[in-house]
Amino acid sequence: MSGRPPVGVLRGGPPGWLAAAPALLVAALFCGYPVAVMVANSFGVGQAPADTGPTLDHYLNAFASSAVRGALIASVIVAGGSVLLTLGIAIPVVLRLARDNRAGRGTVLADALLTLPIALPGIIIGFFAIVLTGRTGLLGLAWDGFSGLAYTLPGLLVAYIYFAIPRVLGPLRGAAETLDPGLADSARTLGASRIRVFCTITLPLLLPAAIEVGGTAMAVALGGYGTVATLSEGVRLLPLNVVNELTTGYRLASSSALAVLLACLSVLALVAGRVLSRTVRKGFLS
Amino acid sequence: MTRIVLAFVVAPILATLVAATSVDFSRGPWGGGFTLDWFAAAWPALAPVIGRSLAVATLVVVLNLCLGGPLAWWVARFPSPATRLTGYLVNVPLAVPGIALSVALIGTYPMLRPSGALLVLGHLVFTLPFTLAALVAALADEELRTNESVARSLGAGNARVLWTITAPTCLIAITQAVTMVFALSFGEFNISFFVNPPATPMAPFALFDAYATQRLEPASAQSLIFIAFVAPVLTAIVLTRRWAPRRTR
Amino acid sequence: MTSPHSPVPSSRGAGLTVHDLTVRYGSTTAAANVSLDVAPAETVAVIGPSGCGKSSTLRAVAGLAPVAEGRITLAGRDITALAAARRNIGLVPQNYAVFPHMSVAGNIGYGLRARRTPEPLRRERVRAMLDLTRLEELADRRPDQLSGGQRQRVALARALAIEPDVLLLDEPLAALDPQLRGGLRRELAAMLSATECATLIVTHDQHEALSLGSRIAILRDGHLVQFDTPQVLWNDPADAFVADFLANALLLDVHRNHDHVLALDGRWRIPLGQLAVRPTGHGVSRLLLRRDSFTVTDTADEAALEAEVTHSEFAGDSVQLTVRAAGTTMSLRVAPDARIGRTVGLSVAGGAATLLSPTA
Repeated sequence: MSGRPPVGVLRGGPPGWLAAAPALLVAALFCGYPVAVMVANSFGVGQAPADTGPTLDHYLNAFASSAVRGALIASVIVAGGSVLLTLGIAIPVVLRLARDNRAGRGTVLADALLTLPIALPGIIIGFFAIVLTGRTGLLGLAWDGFSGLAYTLPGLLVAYIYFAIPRVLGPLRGAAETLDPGLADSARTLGASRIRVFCTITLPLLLPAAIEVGGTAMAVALGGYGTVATLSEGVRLLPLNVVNELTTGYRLASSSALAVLLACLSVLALVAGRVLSRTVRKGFLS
Repeated sequence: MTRIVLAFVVAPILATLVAATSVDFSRGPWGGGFTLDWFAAAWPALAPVIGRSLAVATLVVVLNLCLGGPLAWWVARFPSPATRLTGYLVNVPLAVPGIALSVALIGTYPMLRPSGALLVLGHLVFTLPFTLAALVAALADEELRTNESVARSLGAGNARVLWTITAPTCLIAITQAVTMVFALSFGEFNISFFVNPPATPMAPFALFDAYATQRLEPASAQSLIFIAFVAPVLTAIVLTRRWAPRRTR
Repeated sequence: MTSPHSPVPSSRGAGLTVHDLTVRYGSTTAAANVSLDVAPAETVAVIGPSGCGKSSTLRAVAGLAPVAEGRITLAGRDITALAAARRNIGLVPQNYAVFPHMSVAGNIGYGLRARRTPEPLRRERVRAMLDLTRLEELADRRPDQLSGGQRQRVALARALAIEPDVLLLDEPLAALDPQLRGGLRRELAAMLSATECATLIVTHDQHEALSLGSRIAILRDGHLVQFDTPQVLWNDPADAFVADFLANALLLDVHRNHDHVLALDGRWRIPLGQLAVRPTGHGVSRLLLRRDSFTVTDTADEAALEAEVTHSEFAGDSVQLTVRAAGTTMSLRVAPDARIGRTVGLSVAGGAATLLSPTA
């Protein structure tokens, strides 16, 4: 944002922040405050029954529980792995789509289909996994190994790739579209092979965007509940534990602690994506 | 590669279609024959739920424009540390997992739960970052600001400038925000699952219920009905995305 | 000036030859049957209005546009079907395409790294290129810290570093500030002559073409109209389009009699004594009129052409007129004291107009 003086201010009218006030109030009341209460709950200083006094027990218990540790690790593997794999798939696809688009070949249908999963709740994606690779899944008819795959770690990984595709492809598509094709052309005339052009020009220029997009997608994937809820009889991920603490006995404090843990992971992924992307962008010259 | 990814995205939908039109899917595709009975059976129960979801999504869109529009205007036109901080804070729901936010909401405002107000407000908070992302960029555009000053110098009042210059110029951004928010609210599961009273379920919750309690075939039919309602919104999202760069190019 | 190049032997087949080149994108033909050649150490300018196919021709030579028909040879090799990476061509694209994630030196050394040139040799070569383009102090800068002119020099140095068989410049000055173009054009000309590399420049700017090209190919609607030295194009244009586009001149078909010529369907009769006569290679008699070829006459003498004034503009030392006569629009420049009404009588200033005659 620039330091330009605001143009188009209602001169002599009410100050600009007044326009923002209602939205800020809603955000503070229904996001800021509840999140603060949730954090307080996790330390035992929130509302009943999580008002037992300041304590770190809920976090210590969480880390002591092997179920929670397992879910945590599985969550990181599934969210991180699916996003990494999606990036590997998405980069060639967005480059291809950008080229087609420049050449005037229509990409509307491909764009529409690749965006589709963003409008589908996670539960439907989980259900897809059941239809295809559940115990009576369609793919199981072709090969027995597919039966029940939905409830395993690799199956969950594939379901999360489905979840991540539109969230990675969409923003990355914009980045690929802004890449100057003249750069790759120039590199080629200078004698670089296609692989060399990809490794030294296209990929480095796309990498900062890819890292940032990856961080955001991983944050979203970590917090995703629907997919794993549908497939809950298989691998356990952390969001299931958060809900479990509430639905079996309303242990608000320990549920809040797990929720805070999950939020921290997401924020970590988000911030790491931004920071790493900036570092890569700056570190190119070395 | 593109084709493989496309197939990967489309295949599950087709498989679900096969399941939804099979008499007995456990006996293979179209096991026991082809039928549309599952759709017919699913629709009467699902229709009011879809209607409720559509109504909530519309309300959330309207609230987004009424509250998010002015907020975006402030962030775009009065750049300062305060707006920058706001930009970050409003994005918090992106980072805080939906279930964590839901847990926090029901813990804090149990009294707002029965009326459904908490659900709408939860959706609003959850979708506001997307409205902001689309509108701030459009409103900060230098050319738009020049055009507004020109209109004002020609004697147009603030309301006229807003209606004749700002809104038409930002039409694509607004459409983008509207479609995205609508799709997100319509498909939102976490808040709907926790916050909403089970007696008046939202569409995604009804699906989840079907997955847990019904056979694969009727569950498939309900999923496809849901997807059919999402598809037009999705088309709008893609079309606005295609129009968007042309304006700036 | 030290040349980084070993002298190129001007053997047969050296340089660039484009023979009957046709470039098609889908169903649209961008260039049709274009033939031209660039001798070693020569600079050829390809000029024409936008959409005339000049960029497509350049891209086809670079291996970036599909060749539908024709043949391209470079330094004795047929490169028509060769991949861009293996043509040994130095391309300077219109926007320079300086790699934003590499330093100036990194950009210049890119082609050498792709060729696996040994490190010491590469370093030496990059240094020589930095020296040639006077970028020594900027070697470690990032492209986003460079001015337009500096980016252009980086792109040029990068293209020259690989010792290309031909250098291709696509609108080399178009991306620069108009006020700076004159100086940068002279600078570019000096660097090009120092490199002794065959060079093909694509431009839409007549000054650039005339000052940089030792020969000029002029294209219109995908077809080559004329390919010759600037002097010939200036003095003996192939048709009215060439005269207008390259020299802002008017070329009229005339009928030559023993002591006068008839122009504009016989409405304008000009005594032969008022015209300079030069031979033409194009077979028909034509009258070449430049802006300064006219004077305004009051008297309705026989040799005057009555023209309707559609626009007049005072320019200090002259008056710029746009006039219409016999369905032809002409731009001309006359003395500031000329009396100008709604119509003017025009005659040829003594010796300032040229009759191009096949029989001089």
